[in-house]
Amino acid sequence: MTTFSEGSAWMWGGSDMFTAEEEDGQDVAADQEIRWANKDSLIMLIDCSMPMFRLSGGNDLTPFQLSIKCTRSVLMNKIVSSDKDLVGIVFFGTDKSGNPSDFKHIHVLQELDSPDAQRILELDTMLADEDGTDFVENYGHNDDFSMNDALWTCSHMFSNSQQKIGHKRIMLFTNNDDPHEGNLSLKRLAQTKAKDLNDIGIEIELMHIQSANNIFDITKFYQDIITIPEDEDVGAVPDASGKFDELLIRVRAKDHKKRSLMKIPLNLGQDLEVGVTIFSLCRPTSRPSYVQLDSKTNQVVKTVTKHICEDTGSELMAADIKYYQTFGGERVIFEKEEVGEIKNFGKNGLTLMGFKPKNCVKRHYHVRPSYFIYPDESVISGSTRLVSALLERTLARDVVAICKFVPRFASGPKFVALVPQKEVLDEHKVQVVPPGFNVVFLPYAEDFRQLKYEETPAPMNEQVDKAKDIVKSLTFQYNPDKFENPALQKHYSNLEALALDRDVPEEFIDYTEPDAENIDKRAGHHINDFIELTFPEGYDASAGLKGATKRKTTSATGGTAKKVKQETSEIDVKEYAQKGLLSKLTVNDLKAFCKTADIKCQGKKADLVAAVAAHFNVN
Amino acid sequence: MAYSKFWIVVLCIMECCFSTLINHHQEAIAICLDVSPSMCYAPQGHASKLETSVNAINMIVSRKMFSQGHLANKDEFALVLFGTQARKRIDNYTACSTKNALSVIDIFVYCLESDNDLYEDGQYENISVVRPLGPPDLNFLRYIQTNIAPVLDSIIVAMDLLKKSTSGKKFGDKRIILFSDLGSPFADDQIAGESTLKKILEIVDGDSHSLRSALSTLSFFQKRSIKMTTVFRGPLEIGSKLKINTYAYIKVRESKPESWKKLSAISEASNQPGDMKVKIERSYHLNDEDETEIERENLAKGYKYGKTIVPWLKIDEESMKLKAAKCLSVLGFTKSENVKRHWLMGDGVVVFMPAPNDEPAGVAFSALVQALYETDKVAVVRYVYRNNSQPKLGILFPQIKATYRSLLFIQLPFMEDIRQYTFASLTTNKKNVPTDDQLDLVDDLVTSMDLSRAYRDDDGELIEALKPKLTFNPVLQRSYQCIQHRALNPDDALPRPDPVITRYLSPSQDVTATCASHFQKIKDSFGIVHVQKKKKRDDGTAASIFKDNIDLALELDTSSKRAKDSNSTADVDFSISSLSKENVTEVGTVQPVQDFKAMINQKDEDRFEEGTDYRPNWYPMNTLACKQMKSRIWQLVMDSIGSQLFPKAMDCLKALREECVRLGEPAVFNQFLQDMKDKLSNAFGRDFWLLVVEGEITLISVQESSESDVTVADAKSFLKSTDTKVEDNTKETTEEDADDLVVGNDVKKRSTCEYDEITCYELPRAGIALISIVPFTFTIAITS
Repeated sequence: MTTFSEGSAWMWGGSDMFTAEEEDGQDVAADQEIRWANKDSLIMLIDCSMPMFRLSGGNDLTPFQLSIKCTRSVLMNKIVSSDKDLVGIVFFGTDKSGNPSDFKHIHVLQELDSPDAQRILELDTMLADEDGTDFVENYGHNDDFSMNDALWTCSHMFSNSQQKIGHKRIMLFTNNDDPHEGNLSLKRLAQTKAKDLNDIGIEIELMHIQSANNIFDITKFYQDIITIPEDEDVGAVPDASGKFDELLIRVRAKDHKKRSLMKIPLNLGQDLEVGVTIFSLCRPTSRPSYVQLDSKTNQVVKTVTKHICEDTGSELMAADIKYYQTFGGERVIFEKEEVGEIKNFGKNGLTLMGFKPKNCVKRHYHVRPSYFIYPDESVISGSTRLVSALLERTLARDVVAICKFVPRFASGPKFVALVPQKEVLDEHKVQVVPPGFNVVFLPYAEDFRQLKYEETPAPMNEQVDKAKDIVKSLTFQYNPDKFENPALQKHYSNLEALALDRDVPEEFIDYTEPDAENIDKRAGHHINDFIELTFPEGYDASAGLKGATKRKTTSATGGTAKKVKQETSEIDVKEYAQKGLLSKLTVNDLKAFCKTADIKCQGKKADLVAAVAAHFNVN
Repeated sequence: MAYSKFWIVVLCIMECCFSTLINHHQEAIAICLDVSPSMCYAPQGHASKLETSVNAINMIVSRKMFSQGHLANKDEFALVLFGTQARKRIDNYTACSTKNALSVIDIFVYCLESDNDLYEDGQYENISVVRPLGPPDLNFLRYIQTNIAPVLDSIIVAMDLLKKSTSGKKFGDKRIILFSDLGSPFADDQIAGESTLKKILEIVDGDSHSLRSALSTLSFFQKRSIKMTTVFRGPLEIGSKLKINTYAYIKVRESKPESWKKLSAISEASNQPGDMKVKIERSYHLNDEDETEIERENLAKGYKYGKTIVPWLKIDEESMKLKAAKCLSVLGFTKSENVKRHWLMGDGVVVFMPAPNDEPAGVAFSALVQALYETDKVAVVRYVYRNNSQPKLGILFPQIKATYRSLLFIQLPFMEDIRQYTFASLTTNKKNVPTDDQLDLVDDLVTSMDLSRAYRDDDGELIEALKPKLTFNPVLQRSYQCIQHRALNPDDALPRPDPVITRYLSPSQDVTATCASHFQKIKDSFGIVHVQKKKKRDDGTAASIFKDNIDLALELDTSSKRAKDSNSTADVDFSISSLSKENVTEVGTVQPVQDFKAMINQKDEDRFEEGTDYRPNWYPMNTLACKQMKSRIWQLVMDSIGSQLFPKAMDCLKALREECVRLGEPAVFNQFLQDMKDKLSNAFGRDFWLLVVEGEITLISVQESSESDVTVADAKSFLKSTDTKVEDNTKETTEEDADDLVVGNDVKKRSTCEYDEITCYELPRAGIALISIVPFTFTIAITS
C-alpha cells in the first residue's frame, strides 16, 4: 500500500508513539522484522573467585555483591521496560560445577530466559548472604578455571536457546585483571575463543571492578577479550569502577541493545542528502497494559473485534467502512483512501529549512518528548563526516537547524529543531552525553491556547529578596536518575508480592514526595519571614481557594442549577436551550434530561449539549 | 470627503448589526466585502482580488465552524457587501480563469431601508447587508460560494431577514473584517482611502493585513475557540507552611484533527440508508482448538511480571493503587541549565497563575517568579492534578510579561524513562573528521540559510521565518479544506491543497536558489555517495528512495493513471507531494524555477496524454511551460509588496532566458522582454525594470542563439534606451507620492478633517475593532 516502505533502505522500528498514530502494517521491510521481532539476550558472566568476595576501598559491598546487585537491577529493569528480552547468569571460578559440557569450575545459575519473580528472589537470597558462607557451601571458590570454557558455555547457551535471538551480549564482571597469569596457553585459548564469539556477533563487555591493591590493567589480558562495537566506540575504555553507582551506570548503558526508531534521509537542499538514525532516548515508560484472562483457568484469552452495520446487522470488512466528520451539523463522508490522502504530504525524511539562533526555540515550545539523531553511514557514505561538521559549526555558532520532519509516509509533517549536543565523557571515561542532535518538536500555531491573563501585582523588592533566600537555601543539583516513577514502582512491588506470594509488598521510597521536614529545617526561617512580609495576619490560604470556588458557584450557576436539580422539566431545559445556556447545566442534568426526552446520546458534555440543542432545534 | 462619509456609513451599518447584546462569551464578526469594479479586475490567468477575498472569507467562516463545532454558544457572522453599483455589468478580465462563477459580476444598488437618520441623507447607498448576524453554518458557506458574485438578487430577500434579526443578543466582542482594495467608490482616490483607513485603524486599534498573509491572520479568528478551563486549583507548597494559591491552565498542547468516525458503506449504498452506524462487537476466546468463547463476566485482568502472568483481582486493584493526594509541591530549586531541554517530557505546557481575587497569593507568587527569574533558577515540583492521579515530576520556570507573571510547568522524566545508550565518538574514525575547508563550507551554509532574518514582512522589515506561532499545521488546515469542500461539493474529488497551506512546507525558494552551487560543493567535498546495496526484496533496492524525480514521477504517473481509470475527473490525484515536486503540471508560485525546468524537461507525449479540461492540451509542452512562466513573472512583479518578490521574479526571468537559449526559442523571450519594457516603463513596476537593466538581462542575440534576429549591439542598446530616463522619473514620483502620504499638505488636511468627522461619531464607543485585509498596499497606491 505504501510505496515507500517496500524495499526502501530507510526504516523505522516499533516506535510506540508512531504506531499509535497510524497503522503500520505489513509492509515493514523483512530484514527489519528480524531485527525487531527478536529478543535481546544478555549473559551476566560473574567471576566467583576469592578476590571477588573481599571488601575493599571502604565499600560495604564485596565486588561479587556489587555484581549481583547490578544483575538484579538489570532483571528488574528488563521486567519494566522489555520483558521479552532474555537474561542468563553464569558463575566462573566456583568450586562446584554445573553446566551442560561439564566444564570445571563453571556454574550456570540461570539459563537464558525472560526474567521473572523467582529469578529475582534467587538473587535476593544471595545478596542476603552477607559474609558469603552460604556461597562457599553451595558453590565454593576455585581459581583453576579456564576463561575459554566460560566463554564456550555462554556461546553454547546462546546457540541452544529455543527462542529466536537478536542481539547477543556477555557482561563479564571481575576484579582480576590477569586471571591466567603465567599460563600462556590458557590465555591464548581464551583470546581465540573471544575472537570466535566476536566473529559470530557475540559482544563481550567488561564490567571491571576496582580492587584495593592495584590498578586494573586492561592490557594484561582483557584487551584481547572484549569487543568494542563500532557504533559504541568512544575512543577509550572506561576505568574500573569502585562504587555501585558507577558500575550501575555502565551496566545500564549496555544492558539494552541500542534500538533506533528509524533510519531516514536528512535533505540539506536539492539532492544533497545524508543518512541519519533516530533514537528515542527519553520516552515515558507507562504502566503496562493488562491481558484478559479466563477467570476459571487463568489462561490468556484473545480478543476478537468485529464491526457490525447497525442497519443491516451484517459484519463489515475494512472495505465496507467509510469515514465521516460532522461539519455544520451534517455528515461529511470520505473513503478510507481519501482520509489517508489528506494526511499525505510527501515522502518521509528530514528536510532542512534553515538555521536559527538557539534562543529562538523557546523552552515552552514543547509538545512531545525529543528524539536524538546520529549519523548513519550505511545508505549514504560521507554522512558521518558531514553531520559531524554540521554539529561542530552549529555548536560553535550557537544555532539550531530547523527541519521539516515527516517520520513516515502519509504522516503529517512536523517542524523540529535539531539542537546540537556535544559529547561528554566523565572522569572515568564513561560517556555521559553522546554526540549528535536532539530533535525538539516545535508546536504549530493551533497548539498555542489563547489565554486571557489577569494582571498580577508587582512584588516589593524585599519580598523578592526573601523569595531569593528561600530559593537559594533549597537549591540542589537536579539529575533525572534520582527519581523513580512512584506509580510504576508501586505497581511492580505489588506485582512482585503477588507473584512471590508475599503477604506485604516491599516498601519503596517515593522520591517525588517533598521532604517537608528537611525543607522547613533548611529554609524555615526564610519562609516564615516571607510569609510575614507578604501575607496579612490571619490569612488562610485554604479559605482563599474555597471562598473563590464558593463564590463562583453561588454567583454563576448556584441558584439556577439547584433548581434544575430538583426538577429537570422540559420547559426549564428548553429555556436554557433557547438562551444558549445549556452548557450551564450539569452533565447529570443533561443526562437525566436526555433519558426522559429519549435522546440517545453519550460522551462528553459538549456532545450532550449539542444533542439537547438539536432536540430543541436550536444551534 | 466622499471617502470619509463612505466609511462612516459602513461603520454605522456595522454598529447597527451589533446592536443590543446579551452574551459576553460570544463574538460578533461582520465581514465587509468590497465588490466594486476594481476588486473584480485581474490580469489574465490570475485570481481577482474579489476571488481571493471570497476564498479568505470562506476560510475564516469555516475555521470558526471547525473550532467551535460542539459549543452551544456560537460566535456569529454577518456579511455586508459594499461598492455595489447600479445594475452596471462589468466585463471581467478573468474570463479564462477557472472559477467562472465569479468572473462576471452583477452589481445592484440596494438602499438599506432603515430608520436610521443617516439614510435619509442618502448616505447608505451602495451598501448591502446580505447576511444578517447569525451563527455560521453550511448555508452561509454555500451562500458565499455560489451566490455572492453572480446573483445579488437575493440581497433583497436577505435584507428582509436583517430587519427581523435585531433580536436581543449580546456579544462580548465585535469585529469588522473588511476586504477591500480601497479602490472604491472613487478608484482614483486610493491614497485618500488608505489614509482614512489608517486613521480609523488607529482609533479603533485595528489591524491591517495583506491578503497574502491571510492564513496567518486566521490565528486571530481561532481565539477563544477552546474554553479557558482550569486544570488545577490549589496551593503551590514550599515546605509545610508556605502555600500560594494558584490556578492552572493548559498553555500548549498539540491540537489534533477531530477523529474520524466510522460509517457503514453497505448501508449507505442500499436503497434506504438508515443511520449508517457502525457498532463494535468484541468477543473473547480461549486459545484452544475450538476457540471456546468466554463470557465477558468470566474475564479477569492479568499483568505480566517478566514471563509470569499475575491475575489481578478487582479487590486488589483498589487497595494497590498508589494513593496520591492532589498537590503542587516544591522539592527544591535548581539552576536552569541543569534541566536539559531534551529531558522535557509530557505532551505540553501548563501555565500556573495566582488564584484570582487572592491579592496576597498574587504578591507572593509574583515575588517567587521574580526571584526565580533573577537567579535563573527553576523549581522542581511534584504535581498531582487531582486526587489519586499518577504523580508527575516537573519543572516550573518563570515567565515575565508586561502585565503578568506566570510559572510554566513541563513534565520531567523519571529514571525509568531515560535510555542511556553509548554512541561512538564522531572523532574515533579519523576519516570522519572534517577538514577546515569542509568546516568552512558548512559554516557558509549556516550563514546563507539563516531563517532569523529570512523574510520581509509587510513593512519591509526582515523577520524570522517559520515562527511556531504563525506556522499552521498543514494536516489540520488541509483536513478543514477537504471537509469544507466535500460538504459543499459532495461529488467532487478531494480539492488540490491550498497553496497557502503548502507554501511554507518547502525551504524558501530564494535560499535554495542562492545555495544551489553550495550544495554541490559540499557534496563533492564531503564525498557524499549513495551506497548501492544488494536487493533485499524482490523489487526494491537500497537506494530506491534516493532515485531522483524521474523515478518518482514515473511512480506517481502510474498512480495517477490508476486514479484516472477509476474516476473520470482528471484532476483526481493531487496529493501535496505530487503537487509540490514530482508531478509538475504547472509553474507554481512556490518554486517556479524548478517547476518550469521540470515541465520543460518532461516528455511531451506524457503531457499530451494528460490533456484535461482545465488546460488547453494543444500546446506543445515547452510553450505551455513558457506561457505559465511568463504569467508567473508578471504575477510576481505585480503582487510584490515593495521589492519583496523581485528577486524571485528575476530568477524566473533568468531561467526563462536560459531555457529559451537552450531550446533555440529566442523569439519567445525577446518578445516577452519587449512587452515587459513597454509595460514597465510606465508607472507600475518600474523598479523591477531597473533591476532588469542593472542585471543586464539583455535580449537574446544571434551570438547566443542562431535563431535570433537580434544583433549583439541591438541587444545591448535595448536596455540602455530607457535607462536614465526611467531612473529619473522613478525617483521623482516616488518621493512625491511618499510626501503625499506623509506630509503632503493637501492630504494631511484632508485626513485631519476626516479624523474629526469620524471621532464625532464616537465610533470607539461601540467597541468595534476594525480589521481590514488589504490585498494591495502602498506600491499600488503610489503609482495609480
